[in-house]
Amino acid sequence: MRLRLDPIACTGHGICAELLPEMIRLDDWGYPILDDATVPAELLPMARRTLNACPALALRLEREPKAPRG
Amino acid sequence: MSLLASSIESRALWYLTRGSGAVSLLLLTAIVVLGVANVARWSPERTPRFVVQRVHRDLSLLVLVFIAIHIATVVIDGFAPIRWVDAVVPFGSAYRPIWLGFGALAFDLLLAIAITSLLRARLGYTLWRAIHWTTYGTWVVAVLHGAGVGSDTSTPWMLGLVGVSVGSVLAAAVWRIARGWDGWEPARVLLVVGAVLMPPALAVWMVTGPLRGGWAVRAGTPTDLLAAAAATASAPSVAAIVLPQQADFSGSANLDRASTGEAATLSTSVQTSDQVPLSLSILLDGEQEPEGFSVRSGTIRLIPPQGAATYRGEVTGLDEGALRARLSDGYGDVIDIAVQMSISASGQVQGRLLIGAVSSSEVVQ
Amino acid sequence: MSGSATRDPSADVARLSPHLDRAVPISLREHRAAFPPPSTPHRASRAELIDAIDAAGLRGRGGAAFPTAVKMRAVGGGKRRPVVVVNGSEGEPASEKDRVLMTLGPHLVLDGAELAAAAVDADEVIVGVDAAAPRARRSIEAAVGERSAVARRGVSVRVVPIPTGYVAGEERSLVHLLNGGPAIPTSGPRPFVRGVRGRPTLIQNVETLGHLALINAFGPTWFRSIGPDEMPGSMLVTVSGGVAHPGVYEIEVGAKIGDVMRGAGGAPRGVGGVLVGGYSGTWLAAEIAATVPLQPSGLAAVGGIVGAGVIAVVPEDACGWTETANVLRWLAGQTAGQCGPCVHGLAAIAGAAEQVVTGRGGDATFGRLNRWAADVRGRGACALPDGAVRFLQSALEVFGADVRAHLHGRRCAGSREPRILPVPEPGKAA
Repeated sequence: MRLRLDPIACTGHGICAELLPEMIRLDDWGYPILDDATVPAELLPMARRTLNACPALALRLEREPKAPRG
Repeated sequence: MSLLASSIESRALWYLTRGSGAVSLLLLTAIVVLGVANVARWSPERTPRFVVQRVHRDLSLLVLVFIAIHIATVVIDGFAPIRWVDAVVPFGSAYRPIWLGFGALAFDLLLAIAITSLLRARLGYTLWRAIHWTTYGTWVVAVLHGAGVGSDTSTPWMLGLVGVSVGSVLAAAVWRIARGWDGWEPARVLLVVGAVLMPPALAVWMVTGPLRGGWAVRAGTPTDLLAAAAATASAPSVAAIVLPQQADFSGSANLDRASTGEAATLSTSVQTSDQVPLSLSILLDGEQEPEGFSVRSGTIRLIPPQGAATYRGEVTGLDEGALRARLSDGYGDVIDIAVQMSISASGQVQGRLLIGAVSSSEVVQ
Repeated sequence: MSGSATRDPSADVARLSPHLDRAVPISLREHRAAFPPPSTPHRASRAELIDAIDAAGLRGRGGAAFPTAVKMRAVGGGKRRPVVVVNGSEGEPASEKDRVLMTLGPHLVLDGAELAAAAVDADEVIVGVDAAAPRARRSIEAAVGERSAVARRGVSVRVVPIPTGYVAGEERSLVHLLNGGPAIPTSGPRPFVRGVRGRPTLIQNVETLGHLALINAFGPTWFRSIGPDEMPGSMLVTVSGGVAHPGVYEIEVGAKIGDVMRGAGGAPRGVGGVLVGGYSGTWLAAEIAATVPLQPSGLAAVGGIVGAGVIAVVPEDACGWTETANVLRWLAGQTAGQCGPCVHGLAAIAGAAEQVVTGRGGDATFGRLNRWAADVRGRGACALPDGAVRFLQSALEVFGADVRAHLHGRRCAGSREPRILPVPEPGKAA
């Protein structure tokens, strides 16, 4: 699973960076920069909590795209 | 017929209703303020913003618990004719329908707000935001309920509480307006208009309504409850009379059964035959059982002659066949009484009234 | 498949250009004299038409260079009846090719649109044209009017003006506008899945449709006879700036930029730098530009894109960095205002770039520019921030000497010259 952000919905509250600092940091203007990597299993519950805490509901968890064959 | 010992409920429930109502209003005010703090992206120094968000959410769930207590106590207490359904279906109660109805309306809105917030991720942002916007209106409705239906509205502490709450929410509304809007513009107009009109409108309404005499009648309090209140309020001169320590009485009793179940009301009207003729009205709620009448609760009125103040109060106990009560004349005089009585099959009552500080050893069979 | 090795790359390519070699728009009668009406294929030949486009290897000429046949198959494969949108918004200020094609050769474009509608079984064609390009708009509206007199097949064609703006021509912005909203991007599904009124929407650039009409007339083999395998055929480019004869030229895909500049009369004042692709494209140093072939792999090798076919030459005595700062400030004003990193980031980048121009910036400004560029890339809903960052970073490389001079307080003479790269006022075309 990977974290995905809807940049139009995001209004820069920054609560996500408080709850998941391992994978989210804020830029100079208070908007989140997401780590593109797979969310480790032990962080998944916290990641889900972060999704629910976003006031703008701008965060999503997406399945990894399958590796291309051939 | 004889009176059976049973547990007598006190008015503790009524106090709990009023208390939980006041706490709920304070919690709702805090919730509104914290909600605006969320939008304003404010948090105390060195406190992360998710904490403010979490406290806002937790208080919202806590207030629902307090409101549940508020509802349960008033329905179980039964003093006022309020049913369970009146807590969610507004404006249908027998007791102050409009003002109680506002409470039901506020409760319904709070439930909708809470449920949509818990299911926010599934319902989507737009729907959640639209319903969440009704919080300002819900708060106003709750205040109207409290002021219109409460019996403490004119007391200083209640006025102070309402004042502090109104001030806090008004400040929060101004803060919210100052933050600006990115969405639906009419919402901003509504809030500005509401914030400007609410305090003066509320003040005018309170002064001409709950704080003016006779509100209980105008608010729709049922007449039997009014009569009890009026009896204490209408006593004219304050001439204190000397009450006898003991007096025998006789009179008649009437048993009204409720249309369903075993509940019944025993009403007694008796007169003493002594130098100071007293009228005694005893109203007992309970159940008619084969062995006798099981008393659940009751009120007693002691009416002295010549327009002196009526003493009234509630039955606090029944031991060894004697009813105990503490009566007050509404002007500060309080007496303890014990009433022994027997009721014949034809409804004739005979008994003895003992007034003053009475201990059980003085009760004579 | 014949490659371009045996051809003289500077020779005139005459495929679209005969249609443009005129002073006034072509009428339907004149167009039909040279060009038969596109055949209207029924179900079986719909697939054949797309196969022919696939065989021709046609790729979009709007900037993304996406294979047209793939797009058509995706749109036509949906359950609902698709819509075709002709993208004539041309938000790139330094590009004029689409405007010229729509003004002078509207019927070739509309033939292509009709064919595209047939290929995906669409019943509606919407022609978008820049609201601030009155000649193009008048011409395309007249052409649509001429054709409606002989309309058939139940395909409705209408012209919709598109508000001027850099992001207005982005696929999702167009769909947003046509669905009643503003011309700014959305986060929703891609248009080929769900677009105008929820239907699969095929959005094609004006020039792409022109080539489509030619492929249908002369066949895929003919189309592939020039240009590289990865992007066959010819393309229109807008050459501007310090060249003797600026204008719209048709070239073989893969022609070297240096040869194209020579074809436009050369650069009398020398070359300080060449902007390739557009304001989302890349600056190239003169010596590199001379040998880079205008095809996807050629530009990718130097960190660039083919883009909208813009070739803007900054003379040696002008200040490439001042031009860059100017464009960056304009791009910062072109955001849709929806995504924080883009709105704040581009404004901050433009401010820092201007500080460099006026000599007030120090090494810290340089560091900030690089950091913000890295922060902003990929964090918007559309490609605007990515393009601006590419534009900025290539400028830092190509105009490094200028930048260093400015940082240490020396303001160059070139920075006081009139602007080479156009930055239109809001609501006006270049």
